[in-house]
Amino acid sequence: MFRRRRRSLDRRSGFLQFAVLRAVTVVALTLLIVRAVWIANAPVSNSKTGPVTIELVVWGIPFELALYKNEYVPEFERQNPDIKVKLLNFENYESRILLSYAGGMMPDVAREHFDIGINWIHRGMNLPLDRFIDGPDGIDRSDFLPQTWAGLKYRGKTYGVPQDLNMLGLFYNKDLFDQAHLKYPDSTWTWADLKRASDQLTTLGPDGHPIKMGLDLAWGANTFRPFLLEAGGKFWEADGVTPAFDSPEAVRALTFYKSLLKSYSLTQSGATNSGGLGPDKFFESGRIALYIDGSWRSPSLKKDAPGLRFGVAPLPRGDIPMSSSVSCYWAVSSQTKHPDEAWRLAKYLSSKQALTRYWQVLWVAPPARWSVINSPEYKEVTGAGKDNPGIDSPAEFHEKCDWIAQVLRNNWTTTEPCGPFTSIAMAHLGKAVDQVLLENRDPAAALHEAARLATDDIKEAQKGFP
Amino acid sequence: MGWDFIAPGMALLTVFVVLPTVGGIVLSAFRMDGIGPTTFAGLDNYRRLAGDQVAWLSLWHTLLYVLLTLPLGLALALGIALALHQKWFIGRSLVRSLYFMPNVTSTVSVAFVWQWLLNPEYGLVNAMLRRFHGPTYGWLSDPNLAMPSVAIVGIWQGLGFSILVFLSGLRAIPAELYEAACLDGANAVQQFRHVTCSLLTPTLMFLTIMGVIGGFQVFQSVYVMTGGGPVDRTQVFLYYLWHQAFQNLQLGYACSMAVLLFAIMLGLTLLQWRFYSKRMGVWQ
Repeated sequence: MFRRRRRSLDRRSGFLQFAVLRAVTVVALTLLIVRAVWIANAPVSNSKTGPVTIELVVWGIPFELALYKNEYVPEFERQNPDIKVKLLNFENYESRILLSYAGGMMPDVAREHFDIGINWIHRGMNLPLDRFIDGPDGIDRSDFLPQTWAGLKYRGKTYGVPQDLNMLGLFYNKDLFDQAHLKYPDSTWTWADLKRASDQLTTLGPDGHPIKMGLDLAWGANTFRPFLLEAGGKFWEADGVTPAFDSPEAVRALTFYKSLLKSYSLTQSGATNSGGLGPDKFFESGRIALYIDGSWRSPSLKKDAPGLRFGVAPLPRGDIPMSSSVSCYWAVSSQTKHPDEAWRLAKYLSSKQALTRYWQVLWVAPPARWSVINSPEYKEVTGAGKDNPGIDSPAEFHEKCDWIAQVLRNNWTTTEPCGPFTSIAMAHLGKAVDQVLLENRDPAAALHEAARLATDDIKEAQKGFP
Repeated sequence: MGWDFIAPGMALLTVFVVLPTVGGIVLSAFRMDGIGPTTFAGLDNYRRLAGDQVAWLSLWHTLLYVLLTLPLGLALALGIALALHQKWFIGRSLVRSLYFMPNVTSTVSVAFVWQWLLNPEYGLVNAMLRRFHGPTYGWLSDPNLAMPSVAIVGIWQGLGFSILVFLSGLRAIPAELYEAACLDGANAVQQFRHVTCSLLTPTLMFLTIMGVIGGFQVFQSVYVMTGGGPVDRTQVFLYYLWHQAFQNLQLGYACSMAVLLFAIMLGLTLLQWRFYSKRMGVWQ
């Protein structure tokens, strides 16, 4: 009896030991796997003698990435044999950058844009670059468009090197203008001209359904912003954190914006913009005479609608000529272990040579350097093969790209709306715009409420700021 | 020995469910953006949540979505399942598979396809209406139609699963009960009411609980089709939570919203459990 019990106890203790051993083995193996994954994902360590490896992260579609992979990285490594570049392409860019930063492994150099990057700058994710910019291996700040520096400065320091400036323009269908015997839009156009032409270019069918519409654009805060600025309004108060989009100028701008969209737009709300069936498709199919969108739209329009004859002009002026822009820039992570090498890469990516190729190959946004915009190479847009057709003639360049330099030289654009809390303010402004357009709400009341709610949310968000 | 068998499952559950849940509850008492330092906020996040009109509005919209999708979805599924259960129905397996296909399709793809179908200018739905000289609608742009449109997509996608579960419930009902009811003089409606419905109660309970949980988790279709608009009319709770967490980087506040959602779901599930348990008790 006793022996049987003892045997049973031995067996149980054996099982227990076995289970413990197995558990320890499982834990050890798990830790080993985690460690292996960590090592595989960690930035490559550099020996004292070998070249330093730094990480560069960008977003983009294949032909954009090809520019980095086939031209920038090889050329930079040729010029800097002591540095190797590991090129990364993050999908879900913002989330991946945040996650990598939270994990202490943000890539050394990152492409960022004002819409979200300024928030990151204010949160301390980027390295101040003044000692590099103004140092012996620095760059000439005055060669860059002044708008591109505005968002990069925080508490007296500079946190990036500009790459480009994305601007909104007025696209027009030349065939529809020719059929209506109207002059193409140009920089002298005003809001009144825009409205008159939209009216003349709108054609309704016998059932009242629109056959062709005068004007279309993606409804919402993004396209309302330039109207606000052109009416003489501002997005922010002087402190940069209090919304100012409920001024009398803003109310006037929204009233005009509504009159345009309710009369001439095929798009019926911002909610139907996504999914690839927005106003760009209407413009491509020749159903829209005038269309407001960014400079980045020209190459894709040319590719997707080869038969479409279009040109682009500056936005029609209100009280003043003005448009809102967003800049992309190169940032060095505050977590980098190789700040000198990262700076050399950022500097190269914003060099005249790199920015010239950026414009010639992609032509999505004007490069941030005057020396490129003023150079003869600026007019030689080669494109990237069938994926991104280039410009075929000086006449085509004139009708599709000349407006850009005109806007920049006349200082008709600003990055004033860009700030650390822009996304919060834009969410509320977007709702106000929707309320006015879809629910017929009084513009003044909608804008006042949006500004009040945005102010509350920004105060709350500021509590989390360092 | 038993622990050995359940250890892998337990480990997964602990790492991916228990720890994040506990972590979420803890983080709801902090101010955190994932980048800067995390600071203790006490009950601040909950205080803010109590006064956040958009949060309560989004909760109402979520409830509306559940109310639109669940009863209609279950009624439709039961009707189709009853038809498929009939002996005269030819090609049952094929139809069942067809109904189930949307369920195994990614919600994002489904949402994109429906977005195209419902597009006011190029969409098939309005094109058909136009062809028959009917009025056309901004299905996703009209503030009054946006939520019903999103709900239709939800019903369509969830229909196959409910049909399948109802069919298995119907098959589990012994034929003798119908024979007995028939001998007692029960007509078809009485048989449906007293036999079919009564014995489908556990199935209905399962589908209702799953439907409520699934309805409260609606996110992807809203994200793709409407982005919470127009005018916040499809702003559902999870979409607002995501916005606070990943757009505004207020992770602590988003966690407090998640805790509230957890509490609501738990409460609703317990209520349903109690309601159906009573009914099942009566039946048993």
